Amino acid sequence: MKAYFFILAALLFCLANIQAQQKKKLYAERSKFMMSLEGGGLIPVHGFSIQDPFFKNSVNISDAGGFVIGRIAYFFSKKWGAEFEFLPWIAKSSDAGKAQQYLINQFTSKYYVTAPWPQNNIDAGVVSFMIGPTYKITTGRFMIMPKLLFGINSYDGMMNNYTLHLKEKQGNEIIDMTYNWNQDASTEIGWVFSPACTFSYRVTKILAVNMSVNYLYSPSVRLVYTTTEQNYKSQRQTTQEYIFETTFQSVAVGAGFSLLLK
Amino acid sequence: MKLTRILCWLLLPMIAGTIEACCHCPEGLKYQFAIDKIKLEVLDNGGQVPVITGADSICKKCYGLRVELETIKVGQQKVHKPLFLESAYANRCCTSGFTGDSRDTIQTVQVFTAIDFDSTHKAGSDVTSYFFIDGTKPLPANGVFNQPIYTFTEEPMPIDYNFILMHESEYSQCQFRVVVTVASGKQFEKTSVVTHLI
Repeated sequence: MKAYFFILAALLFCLANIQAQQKKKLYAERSKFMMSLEGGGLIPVHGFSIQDPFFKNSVNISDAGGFVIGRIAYFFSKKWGAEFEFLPWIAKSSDAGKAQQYLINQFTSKYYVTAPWPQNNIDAGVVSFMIGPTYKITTGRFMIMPKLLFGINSYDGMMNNYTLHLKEKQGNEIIDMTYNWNQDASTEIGWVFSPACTFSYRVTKILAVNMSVNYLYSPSVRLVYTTTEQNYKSQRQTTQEYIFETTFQSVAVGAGFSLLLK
Repeated sequence: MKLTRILCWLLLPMIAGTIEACCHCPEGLKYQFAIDKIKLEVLDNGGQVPVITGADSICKKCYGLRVELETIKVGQQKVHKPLFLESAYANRCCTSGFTGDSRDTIQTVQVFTAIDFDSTHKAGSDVTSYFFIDGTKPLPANGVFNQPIYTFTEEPMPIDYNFILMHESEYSQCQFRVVVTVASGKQFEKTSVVTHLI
């Protein structure tokens, strides 16, 4: 008899647990809004070495960067939804010192070179705004959301007013070499295409932890740079323009949390 | 009670003086400066920065002149005194700043070559336009400088300029005479030593 009651209690407990799981699953499927915030890093894949025109590919500079993703998804059915993603990121040249040395080395035989630390001058800021369809696969507490996003990239602040001060050795000539990104002539707004996937685990009914992978691809980015040579001895200023056409490919890997709301 | 009232009345000018000192902050005491002397030295600009040299010879492309104008204090603003009590200044809340002011203004700076410089500039010719201040800004060809003299400390500070020669002499030695004229019409002049150019 005791054993019978024990088995019955165990069965009821399991049934209740299954019902609770189903309710939770239903909630996960029923929730229409999913708001996420993530932070992470950007792994460059191709062609966004922003200083290429100056370094002629002789310096290996990768533009690994940091980003924050803000994401809002709206599910108009149990599985399908639309997602808006806001992804601002900063590309920090991982080898700014080496890049600086490359520029300096071009002049050291003839000039004394005074150079500011280049880190702040060669950082790039890019903001991506993307929208696209997403599909939700729910298994227990896990959710997998593959998506296909399209949108625009806004580029800003690459190689801004980086000046080398050159003083002639055994001579009186002074030159200021300024490296600039010509914002007006460059792509300020460009297309971006991003297949992505978010993996979520619901910790509570409404809170989930996420990990996401975005592959970012910009088909055509035109970057125009200028070097301005101000020669004080001749009182002449010469400007040279460098046009750099590239594609931008990068993988953004991030982690954060989501709120699931009805 | 009466004693407190008397004390209050006695302290009233002190309080008034403090308030007045606090509410009336002078901009800072002013000192006036004027040029007293001119000093001229030869610069060797072969290194990263120009240095004063006493050497007989320097590189032909590295020549420069250091013009140092020594100043003297010629006037001082009268110190503001509080209306009620001298001691109110002990409690004043204003900072005691001071500003330099110039009685003199450098009107013109001219550089003349004391010996033949090139085929077009024989001894005594004006070569002002051949010199650049700090090697970047040309000296005005007509010599008009129009630069007030300021020293930003209470004590007179020398005013100095590095005049870097941007043209090479055709000869193996050079010597220059610098003439500074101030607003009052007074002229200060000095001639550099003869330097061999290699």
